[in-house]
Amino acid sequence: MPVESKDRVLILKGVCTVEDAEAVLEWILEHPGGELDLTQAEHIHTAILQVLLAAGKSRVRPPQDPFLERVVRIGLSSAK
Amino acid sequence: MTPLLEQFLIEARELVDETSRDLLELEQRPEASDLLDALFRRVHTLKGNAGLFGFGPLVELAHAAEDVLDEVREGALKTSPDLIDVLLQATDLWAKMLDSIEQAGTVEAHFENEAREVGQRLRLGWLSAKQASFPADHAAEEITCSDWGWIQDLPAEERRRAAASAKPVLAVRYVPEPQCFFKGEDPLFTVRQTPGLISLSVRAKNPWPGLGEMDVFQANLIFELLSVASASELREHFRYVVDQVTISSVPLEALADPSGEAEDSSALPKSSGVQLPEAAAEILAAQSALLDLSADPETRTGRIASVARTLEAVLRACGATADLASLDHAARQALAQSSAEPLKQFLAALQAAPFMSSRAGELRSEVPAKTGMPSSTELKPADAARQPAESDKAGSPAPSGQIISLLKVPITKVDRLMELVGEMVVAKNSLPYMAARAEREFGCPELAREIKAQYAILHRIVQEMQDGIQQVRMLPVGTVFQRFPRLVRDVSKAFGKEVDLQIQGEDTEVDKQIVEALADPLVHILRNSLDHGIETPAERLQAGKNPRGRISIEARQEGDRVHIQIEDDGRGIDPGTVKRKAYEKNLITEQQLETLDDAAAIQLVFMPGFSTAETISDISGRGVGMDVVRRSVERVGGTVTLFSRKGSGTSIRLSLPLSMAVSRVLEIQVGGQSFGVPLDEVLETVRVPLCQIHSIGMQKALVLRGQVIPLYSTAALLGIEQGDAGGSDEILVMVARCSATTIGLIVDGFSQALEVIVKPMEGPLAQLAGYSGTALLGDGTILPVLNLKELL
Repeated sequence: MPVESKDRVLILKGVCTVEDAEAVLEWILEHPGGELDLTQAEHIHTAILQVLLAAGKSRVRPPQDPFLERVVRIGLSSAK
Repeated sequence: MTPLLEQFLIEARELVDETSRDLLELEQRPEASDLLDALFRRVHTLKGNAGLFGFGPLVELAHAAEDVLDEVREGALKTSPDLIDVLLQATDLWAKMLDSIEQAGTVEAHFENEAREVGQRLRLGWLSAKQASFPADHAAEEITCSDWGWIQDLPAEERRRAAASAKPVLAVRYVPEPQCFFKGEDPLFTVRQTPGLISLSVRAKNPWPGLGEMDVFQANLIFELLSVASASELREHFRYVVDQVTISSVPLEALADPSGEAEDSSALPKSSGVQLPEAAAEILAAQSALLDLSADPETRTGRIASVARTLEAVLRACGATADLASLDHAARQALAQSSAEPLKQFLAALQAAPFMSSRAGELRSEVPAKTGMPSSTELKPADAARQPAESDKAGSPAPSGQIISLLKVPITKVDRLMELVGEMVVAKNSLPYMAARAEREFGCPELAREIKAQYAILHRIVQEMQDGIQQVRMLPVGTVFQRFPRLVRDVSKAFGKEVDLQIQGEDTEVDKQIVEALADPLVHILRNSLDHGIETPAERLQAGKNPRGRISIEARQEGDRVHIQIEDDGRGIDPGTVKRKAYEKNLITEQQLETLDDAAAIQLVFMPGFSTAETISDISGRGVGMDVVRRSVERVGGTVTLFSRKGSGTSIRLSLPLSMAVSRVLEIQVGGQSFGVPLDEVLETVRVPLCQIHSIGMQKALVLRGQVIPLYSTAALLGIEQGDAGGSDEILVMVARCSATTIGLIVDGFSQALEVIVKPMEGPLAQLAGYSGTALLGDGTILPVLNLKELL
C-alpha cells in the first residue's frame, strides 16, 4: 500500500491506484486539519486527484513529479 | 423508430447524397479546396452522427473515407478517378446501410464485411502506411470551439510555448464519463500520456460536494489540454474514450496574452477598453439590471448563462473579441460560485469605458420593468458557458440563440395536412347546398344569403390554405436530377463513351408526388440515351461529330405545367429499323410496315414489348421499355412526346402538371348516374342532331368541322342502361382527347365543372379498370372519376 499515515500527515508514494482513493478520503475526513504529502508520488489515480481537489489546497505538499505537480497546482487553483 | 433516429436518417441521407454529388464535382475540379472541405465536413458529420447510434460499420467506413479526404485536403494525396470510384462505392454502401437502418433498425451484419472491404481498399490504397494500420473503430469530434477562457488560466510560459509552436496547436477537451473508473480507466493517466502535450487544465465538472457526501468512484472532472500532435495522433490516443473527447484547433488569438491581465488566474477579469456603440450600452445596462434582480439559485444560474450569452453576442457584434476570454472567465466563475458578482464586475468594467458610461447610467433605472423575463432561450446552466461551440459544424443543431429558419418536417405530416385541407374543401362545398335548402325548403332567403356570404369567406381561406400547403409540397425537380451526373458518369464509363451532361432549370418546382413519379422514367430515358443514343467516340469522329457526346436536361414551367426536355446528340432513332423490329415482333401489320410515315414509326418505341437494343445490356433493355415511361408519366397526368432525327439525335419532352392534388373534372350524367371526367381531357361538348351520326361498319362516327370522330356510348362502355333521351332528335356528345386521338362520348347530360380531390380506389375496387378514382362532393355524394384511356 503506497499510502502511509504519520502524525497527521498522509504520505502517498509511487503509483497510487483507484483502490487507495477511498482510504485517502476517509483519512482526510478523520483528520480535518491533516496534510497530504505527495512529494514521493509518481502517479495518482484520477479518483485520488478528485479527492484532493474536493478537499482544497491548503492540505497538500506538492509532488516532485513535474506532470503531477502541474496537474495538482492548476487543479487546485481552479477549485478554490 | 425514435424521433432521434428518424432525424438521423433524414440528415444522413442528405449527407450521403451531397457527398456523392460533391465527389462527382470534385472529379471535374480536383483542386477545389472548398469542395474538399465540404466533403470532409459531411463525411465527418455522418461519422459522428452514426457513432452516436453505434452503427459500427457505417462509422468505420466513414472514418476511412474521412482519413483519405483529410490527406487529400492536406495535399498529401491527389484525387484520381480511381479514388473517386472507391469513395462513391462508399457512398453507395452508406445509402444501403441507411436503408437497412430504416427497415431493420440496425445495420445488418453482412454490411460489416462490405464496409471493412471498402474501408480497407481506401486505407491500403491511399493512406500512408502509418495511418492505414489504424483500427477504424472510433470517432472523434472536431469542432471549432469559441470557449477559450481556460487557456487564459494556463501558466503564461506554457501558453507562450503553445503560441510559439511551429505546428498547429490542438485543444482536447476530455470529459470522462462518470462511471469510467469502473471500467478500469484512469483519465489522468490517459491525459499524462497524451502525445505532444504542452499544457493542461483540470477542473470539476459539477461543484464538489462536501467531502462527506463525496463518491470517490464517480468521475467529475473536465480535462482541457493543448497539444501539438496531429488530430489523427490525438484521436488514436483517445480512441477508447472517443465519445468523451472533443478535438478542436486553437485560433492564435486564443493563445495570446490577455491584454493587461495578470498572470495569476485568480485575477479579476478586465475589459480591454474597446469602446462600444450606444445600442450596446443599452443592452449592457439591461443586463446589469438583470443581474441586480434577486433570484432563487436555480433561476440565477439560468440568468447568468443568458446574460453571458447576451454579452458575448454584444462583444462579437462590436468586434471586441479580445474581451471574450475574460467574459467567459467571469461567466464561469459566476456559475461556479452561483453568484452574479464576477459577471457584474466584468460588466462594470465594460461600462466604465468612457464612451458609454453616461448613457448606461441613465438607462439603468427604467430598464428592469422591461426585462422582467430573462432570455427566452434559456440554457442548461452547466452547458451555458460553452454553448456556442458548434455553430459552424455542418449538420449540427443551431445554437439556441439563433432563429431557426428552416424546419425539417416528415412528409407524412404534410400529407396529413393536405388530406385535411381536402376534406375541408369538401365540407366547405356543402354550404351552397345548405343555402339552396334554406331557401327552397325553409323559405328563408336571408339565411341562404348569409350562408353564401360565409361560404365565400371560407372558400377564400381554404383556397389559400390549399395553395400554401401545395407550396410546402413543392420540390425542385433538381432533387431528381441530382443523381444523374453519377449515372451518366458510371454508364458512360461502362460503355467507353464520353458524355457531357448539361442540366438546366433544376430549380423549377413541382409537387412532390410528381417529382417522385418522374424519377424512374427520367432515369430510363437517360439510360436509353446513353446506351442507344450516344455513339462511341470513334463512331462519333467518323460521323464528323465532337467525340464527346452531349445530353441536356432542361426543366421549365409553363402555366400550370412543367416541361422537361431530354435531348441528346447521338445517332437518333432510325424509323426503318423501328418499323422492321415492330413488324418482327408482330406489333404492326405488314401494311403498316409499308405505309407508316417516319414520325409515326418513331412513336412505335412506346408500344409495349418493343425494345431496339441489339444486345441486352446491363444498363437499359431490362425488359422495361419506353411504354413503361409513358405509362408512369401518364399516371400522374403527364404526356410524353418524342422527336428524333436519324444521325443527329433524339429529344423527348415530358409535360406534367405542377400539382395533382386538386383536379378539375367535368361532371357528366349517364344512365341517371353522375361521373367525372378530367377537364383537361375534354375538348368540347356539343349537341348533335341524330342525322349527323354516321355508321361506318359497326362503328358510329360524327363529322365535326370536317373531322371524323369515332363515337362511343358511355353507357355501353360502363355497362349501364342508357338514359331515356326523351324522343329528342339530338344527342349530347363530349369530345375528348384520349391517347393523342380525338373521340366522342355520348352522354345524357353535363353538369358543372368541379374542383375535386381524386382519391384512388382502394381494396377490391382498385382492380376496376376504367376509373382513376373517386371524389367526394359537397353534398356527400361520391363521384366516380373516369379514366378514358382505360375505358376504351
